[in-house]
Amino acid sequence: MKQSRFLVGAALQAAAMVGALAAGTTAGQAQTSQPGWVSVSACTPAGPLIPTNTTETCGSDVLQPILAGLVTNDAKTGAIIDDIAEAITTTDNKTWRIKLRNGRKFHDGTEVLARNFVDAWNWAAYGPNGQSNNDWFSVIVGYGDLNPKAPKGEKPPVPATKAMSGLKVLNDHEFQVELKLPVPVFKSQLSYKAFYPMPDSFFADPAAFGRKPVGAGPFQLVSGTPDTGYKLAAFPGYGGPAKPSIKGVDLRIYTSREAAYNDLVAGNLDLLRDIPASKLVADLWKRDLRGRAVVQPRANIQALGMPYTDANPHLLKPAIRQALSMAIDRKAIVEILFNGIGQPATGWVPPGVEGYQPGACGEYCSFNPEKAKELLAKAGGYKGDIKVYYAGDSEVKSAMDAVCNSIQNTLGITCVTSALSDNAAFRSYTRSGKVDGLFPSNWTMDYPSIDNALVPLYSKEGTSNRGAYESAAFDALLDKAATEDSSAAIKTYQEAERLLIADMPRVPLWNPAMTVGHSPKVRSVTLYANGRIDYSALALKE
Amino acid sequence: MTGYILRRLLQFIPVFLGTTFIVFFLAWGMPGDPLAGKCGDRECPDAFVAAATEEFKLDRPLIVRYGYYLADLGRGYLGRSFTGRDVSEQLLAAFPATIRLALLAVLIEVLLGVTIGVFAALRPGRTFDTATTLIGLVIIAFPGFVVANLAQLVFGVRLGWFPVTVSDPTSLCELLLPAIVLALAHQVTLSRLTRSAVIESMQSDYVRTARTKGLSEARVVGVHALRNSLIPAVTYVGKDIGGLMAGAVVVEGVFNISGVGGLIVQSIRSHDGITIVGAVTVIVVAYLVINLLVDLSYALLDPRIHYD
Repeated sequence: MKQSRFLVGAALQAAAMVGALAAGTTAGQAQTSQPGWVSVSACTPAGPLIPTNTTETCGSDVLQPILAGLVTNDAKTGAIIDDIAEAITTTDNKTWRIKLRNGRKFHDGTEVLARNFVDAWNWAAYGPNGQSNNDWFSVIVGYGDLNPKAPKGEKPPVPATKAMSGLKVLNDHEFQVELKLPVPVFKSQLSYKAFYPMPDSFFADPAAFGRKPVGAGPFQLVSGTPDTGYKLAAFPGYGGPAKPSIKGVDLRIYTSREAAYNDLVAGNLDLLRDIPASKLVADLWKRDLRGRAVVQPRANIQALGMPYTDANPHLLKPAIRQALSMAIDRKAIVEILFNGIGQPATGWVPPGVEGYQPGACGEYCSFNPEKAKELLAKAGGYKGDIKVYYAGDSEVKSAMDAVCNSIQNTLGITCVTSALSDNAAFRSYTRSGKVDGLFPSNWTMDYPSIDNALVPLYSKEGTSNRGAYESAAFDALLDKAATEDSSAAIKTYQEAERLLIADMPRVPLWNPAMTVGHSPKVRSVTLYANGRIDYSALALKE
Repeated sequence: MTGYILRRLLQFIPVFLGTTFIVFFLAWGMPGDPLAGKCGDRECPDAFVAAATEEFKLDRPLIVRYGYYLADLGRGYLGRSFTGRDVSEQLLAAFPATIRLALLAVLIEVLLGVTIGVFAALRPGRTFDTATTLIGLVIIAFPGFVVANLAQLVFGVRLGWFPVTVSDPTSLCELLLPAIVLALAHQVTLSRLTRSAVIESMQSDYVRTARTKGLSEARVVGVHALRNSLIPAVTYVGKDIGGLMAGAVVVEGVFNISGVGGLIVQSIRSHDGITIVGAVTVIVVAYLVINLLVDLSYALLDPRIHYD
């Protein structure tokens, strides 16, 4: 028995060592947050937090409560309202005179002045700075001087100037913008973060700003890094329209939404956006969270893109495109696959967007097997397989399988889904109408106005016209809208949207909704049209 | 000994060059334009593409870029990732958590594995031996993510004994549950290895000699038999530490630990070649060093082994 006593002793000692090791560090319950603060799940921003170079979700989530622009959109109504601007006026949609409110401050205490806008726009539009939001400024006179065209196969030359001639500071609180073409919805565009002001300190050291951004929004960044999360405290000097009632936001980094969900259920987290799909099945999340669940539409449209080129001669026939659209049972897919979260798309513009018209696509976006077959037969049928390409690392596989099955069952065309290795491979492969099949095409509105759902995607010069669609009649309507005042322009854009029925450049599928789960501490949650939480409207229980 | 260590360190150089070369070409050779999808749902503007092409020398042949990369490495600079963050900064954020988790997991693994192995070896074929074998088989049969999710659900969400996720990776207390999950499967192999090695040693001449010298049984087993049985165990543990550097992705994901595995997976997805090469390079070096330490420990454990 002696030997086992020795070994038991050794094992006990070892166990005690582990215990000591664990106890030696403070019990790690850093989860309890200060009163008035809410903890929110976030993800690691991919790069420095510079608004004109941040296009991915994680970074945008952090920046949104920190920044303020000339205008913002009201989370409840979706209307564009003045924020830092006092008045934005134009007579011809080309020359815009912008007057700022007095006394709006950046978090570093300096006042937001006209030059903070003009300098920021010039910096972001300056080609060599390589900002991913560079092309937002292409409508301003003088943009070309900052982005000289590169001779074929060579590097672009260094611009001769660093300022756009179309921007003029009139006085501390007024500046003027000269556009190349009339843009009736320019004011709506100004709600996008590319147009936000930058404090003087930014230009001295953009890298420091990227680590600790300074804005004029309702919350200021107190501390944090991309890997540990960020603490945003309500900015005491905030004088804008969105004064928060909470004291601060604790953005916690989660590498997986499942982990965040478990923390939410266990009461360690206050807010989680975009509940993992596995928890939506049979409303599991609503039971887990005892009803503390919010579903809200968001300004997003998922569609089926296709080439408008001779890459696939069948798909060039409008009737076949329409037949495909009518062969997809959107309602069943949303009900079954997405557990009823989201809604079948009835047009090319997401709901909740200024200029949205229900049913813009008419009967061509509803499931109608008879008419679909008829259209296909009239167009001379479809020979061979139809392929649906998607990015293998994305979450769309099951949805694309469902779409493919729906097409195959209705039209009797063999439909195959084909996974490309990842998003980069998918995007390079489906670019500029080169691909010979269908592909999922997601569009999140940059600002909630109808033109943003049409111009970049379907105009000849559109920056994201991946199907290479071209329609002279459609482009003519966009040109016409550009010369009108904003309410007439919206009507013309709506007319242009209805024109898309004829060619069906993309097949609208559905408008996803945003799901949010919250802790008992939170009284009400309001989301912006882009699905982000409006922290200023967030109310806590006493 | 010193000569041996120097020779081994020299061998590091070709291994290091070979792996970085292979990883560099694999990482950058992935199909698709690495800049595609970098601007959200939109296509990237020309100015962005031009600036990124210039900064990362995307228009140069791969071999030239590898040369630049080596030159940077020579200066101790691991490069900057596509997203504008320094790779060294990303690694410094990811490695400490992973190393802590790996060491804690290995500590638990050794304590459990060696103890169970020795006990099982003392009475082979008896209840304890059979029971641990059976339980071990059950544990091994479960995939890691099932054990991790189950442990999180039961001990974190339901019972509340452990934090659900790791909010502060410097706290060993928070890392305890993930470490136990990682250690559980690994200790099975370790205990089997220890068991068979100890059984073998117990029948050797030196154990008989020790017994006839009148040494206590505890000393016979604990010092003479165990020490000589540790070589396979140490080899396995060395391999484990290296493996845990990047191989704990699943468990790290479940418990929300931003570690090296997650960093590599994320970088592969976003085609961030520079980060992939940097992270893998550090792991390769760690592997090499651990292997050297394991080999050196042989000489300490078994007096018959000499390096010179």
